[in-house]
Amino acid sequence: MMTIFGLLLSILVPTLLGIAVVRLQLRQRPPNEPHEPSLNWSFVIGYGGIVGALLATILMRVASLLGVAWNFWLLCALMLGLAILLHLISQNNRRGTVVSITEESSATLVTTPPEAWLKWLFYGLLALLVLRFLNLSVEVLQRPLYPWDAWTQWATKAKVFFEYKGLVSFATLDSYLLADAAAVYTDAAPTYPPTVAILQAFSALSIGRFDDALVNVPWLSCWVFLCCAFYGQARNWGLSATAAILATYALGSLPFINTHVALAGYAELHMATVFGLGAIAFFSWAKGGANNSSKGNNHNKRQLLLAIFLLLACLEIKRPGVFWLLSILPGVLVWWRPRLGLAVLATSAIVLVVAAFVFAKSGATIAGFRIGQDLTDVSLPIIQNTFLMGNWNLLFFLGLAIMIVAWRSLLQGVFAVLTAVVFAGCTFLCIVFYFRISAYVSDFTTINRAVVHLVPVLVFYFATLAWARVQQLGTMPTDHLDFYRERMQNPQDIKDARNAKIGTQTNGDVSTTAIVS
Amino acid sequence: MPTENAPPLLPDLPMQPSKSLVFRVFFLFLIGLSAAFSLAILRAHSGPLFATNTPLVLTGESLALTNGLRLAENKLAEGVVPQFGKTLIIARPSEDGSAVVALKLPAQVALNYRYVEAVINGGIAQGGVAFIWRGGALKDKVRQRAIPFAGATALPIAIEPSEGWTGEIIGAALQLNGPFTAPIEVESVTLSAPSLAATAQRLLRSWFSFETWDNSSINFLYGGPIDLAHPLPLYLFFGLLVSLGLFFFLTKDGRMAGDARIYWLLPLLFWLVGDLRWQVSLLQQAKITAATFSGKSNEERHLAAEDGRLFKLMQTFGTKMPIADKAAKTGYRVFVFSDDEYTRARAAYHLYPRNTFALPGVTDLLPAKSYQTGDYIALIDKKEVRFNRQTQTLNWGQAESVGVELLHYENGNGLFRVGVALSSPAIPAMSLPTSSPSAPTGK
Repeated sequence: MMTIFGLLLSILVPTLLGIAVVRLQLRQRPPNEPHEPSLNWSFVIGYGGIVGALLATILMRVASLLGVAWNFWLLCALMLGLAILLHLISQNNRRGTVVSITEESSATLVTTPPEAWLKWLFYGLLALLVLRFLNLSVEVLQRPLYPWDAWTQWATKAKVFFEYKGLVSFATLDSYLLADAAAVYTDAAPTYPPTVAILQAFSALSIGRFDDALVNVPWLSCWVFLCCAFYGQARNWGLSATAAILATYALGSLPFINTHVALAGYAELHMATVFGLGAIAFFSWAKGGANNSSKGNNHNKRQLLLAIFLLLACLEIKRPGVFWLLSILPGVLVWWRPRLGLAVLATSAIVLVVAAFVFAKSGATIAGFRIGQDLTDVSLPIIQNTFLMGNWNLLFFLGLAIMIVAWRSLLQGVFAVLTAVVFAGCTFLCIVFYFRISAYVSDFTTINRAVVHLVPVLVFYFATLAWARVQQLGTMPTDHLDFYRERMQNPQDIKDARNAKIGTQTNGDVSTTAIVS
Repeated sequence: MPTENAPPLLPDLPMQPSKSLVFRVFFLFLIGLSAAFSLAILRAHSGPLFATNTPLVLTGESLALTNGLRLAENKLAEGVVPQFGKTLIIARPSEDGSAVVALKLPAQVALNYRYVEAVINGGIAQGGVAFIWRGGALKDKVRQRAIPFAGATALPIAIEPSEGWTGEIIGAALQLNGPFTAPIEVESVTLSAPSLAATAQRLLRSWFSFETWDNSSINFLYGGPIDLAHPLPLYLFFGLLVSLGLFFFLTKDGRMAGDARIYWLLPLLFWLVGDLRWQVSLLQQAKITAATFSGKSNEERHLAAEDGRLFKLMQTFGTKMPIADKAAKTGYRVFVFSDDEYTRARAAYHLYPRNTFALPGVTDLLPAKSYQTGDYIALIDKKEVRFNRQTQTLNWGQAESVGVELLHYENGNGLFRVGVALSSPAIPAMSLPTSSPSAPTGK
């Protein structure tokens, strides 16, 4: 029982801290400032869970730097104290502020669709995700570390950190042999960031021993938080509950993502989650900006801060994190100067195509890449792994189809930002696959593990594009308020209807207006 | 609150999808699915449409081991549960690295049978499994077809006359190429006559075959046969396109009422088919995982895992070494060497949190000067290293030598504590003492 209790605490306490951070309101809102849309709980829990886990690792690093040995209860108390403090600050700053139901927030308040059969569909897909969770739990909680890198470069560090209750240096071969044996360790990837290993060490601290299976609980929680946050952001974007759960199910049921939960121990799932949620927060922030004439005022600062924090955290998950961080830059450029950004993007695309296909035979060297000699055609293994094998179900078929059907939207409005980031991410993958690690692509060892980092972003991109396209077609999996919006052109009617509905329904699907305290 | 003027709640909202929507969606879905399956059968099938012979199931005495070591029934490996009299259990391949199981077949087998399916359990033949035969026009030529696996499950193969599966077959066999991870059970080999039904069955079996975890699972999932001749996602997408195309044409003609919901319901249904395959496989795997590890302690789980014996050995090694104390600066290092990459890395992992060294690709022992007094050297399945009991030295390479104390020796694997490190340049090769005949060496 103590084991279960400890493990639950190891997830719950950082999540509470993360939730307090995500909901943090640092200043009192002036009376004339537009009200912020209320936050949906799946968004808060999902982002809270991931942010909290990252904050826990930061706290542990600080403790280690200060020479304080890690103590689970002390860390929990510290995190809980911080969470309570932040909550009180937020509560104080919110006091007396009435949050009205705004056009933007309406979608986030509705949790399930009204139509009976859509409700069944919603709960059916949710049940499939719950079944998947239970299924994956069996693997995570019982199977000792299984995949290769998990025990050659991640859990090696975790075991040492747990033993010493603090961070220990890992060095490359040369430094290792010269160093004091008591001070420096080594493993297969000594220069990799320790974040994932610290998460495992924290789980081990919670149960008081290093259990090869139970230390992997952060992978299970990461999957849950990814699904929650993804659903929340889809709702924030305006997708109906049914459409949002459909997209979330598509993401959460992907075989390759499930495998990285079941065979826990690699950093790919955390990399995908941190980058994916950071990028999606950036998209949501950009959407807020794109919908408003003055970009400075109405941005959802919470989304922006989350994006910055998570995208910077990519650097501390895996070394390729720096490239994923950089892949956001084209999106920022397109958001800032749409025409200039798209022009730069188009030029880059042309340069890349020319470099790849024209200079391929010349042996030219560009930015250190010997085009002629280093370029290896790995198109076939890429197609096999993304389209034909069992890794991604129908994701890439459907994604391609959605992009073709919604081609008019690809460079319109906020979708130009998403397209720029997806383009940059795919370009990065192509450069890596065709020039740098073609041998590992040909033998299938690295394709999917690199692609998975971009997958949450891709699913979000495809889902929002599809949503935009289906809305153009007219009939949608409707929600209460979407339904009213479709039928009432007069904004006053919409407002009245919404107020009437909220006034008559105090529980169930729709949250009530309330004095948020 | 302006409730009085509010419109009635959800005045004309459909509470159920109309029966016609359900009918239309499933009609289109089934048409698409049928089209996809039909295309797969058409591409996979050759020969007569209907079978003329019943399947030929070979078990027991119809399977004869002609090369390799058959496991005696009273010397079963741990965890192997054979069905005596029916299952052939092969302990290990012969010295040439393979085991051959001859099949007793009628001479005209090629005329009547074309599909081969082997049921193979237990260990994995890491060099692969092939169906080999001799006959046809070139009687002396041995032909072969590799048997694909999805995880540990052997998938059925179809052999075409153009491959030499024609005329009189002189001999046929299964060739299992070593090394074996554990004794292998050949339960049966079934030959089926070509027919549409057999082709359909073969396709379904290959798509829905159980894909157990293996070393490559973390990198990719097969989702069916690795040859990707008939990938399920491709056919599902084809089926989806057929469904959507049919919907488009029927609504254009006015023969079916249009409903944009069908545009997302149909992809969902086809996605669910792909997910069903994966979910079933995951549930089967969860059963195995639970049966293997459920209710066990961390140590018991390790012992039950694939590398249980290695874990046990490392536990023994661990008892010979104290846990290093960083605070007291009493550190030492453990150098792990093995000729096998997996063994070296996995053994090292079991020795953490001790300060363990086992870098990828570093198979040979480091130069003698790399070791300090108090360090440990663990040799597991390591060749070409000699221990001299008289001089208490480990010797390897040209003239490398280090003074050690033997702490534990077991089945060719040893743990040593470094005493006085001897640098190779200082010791002439000729002065090295010869190894004692009784001294343990690597394999």
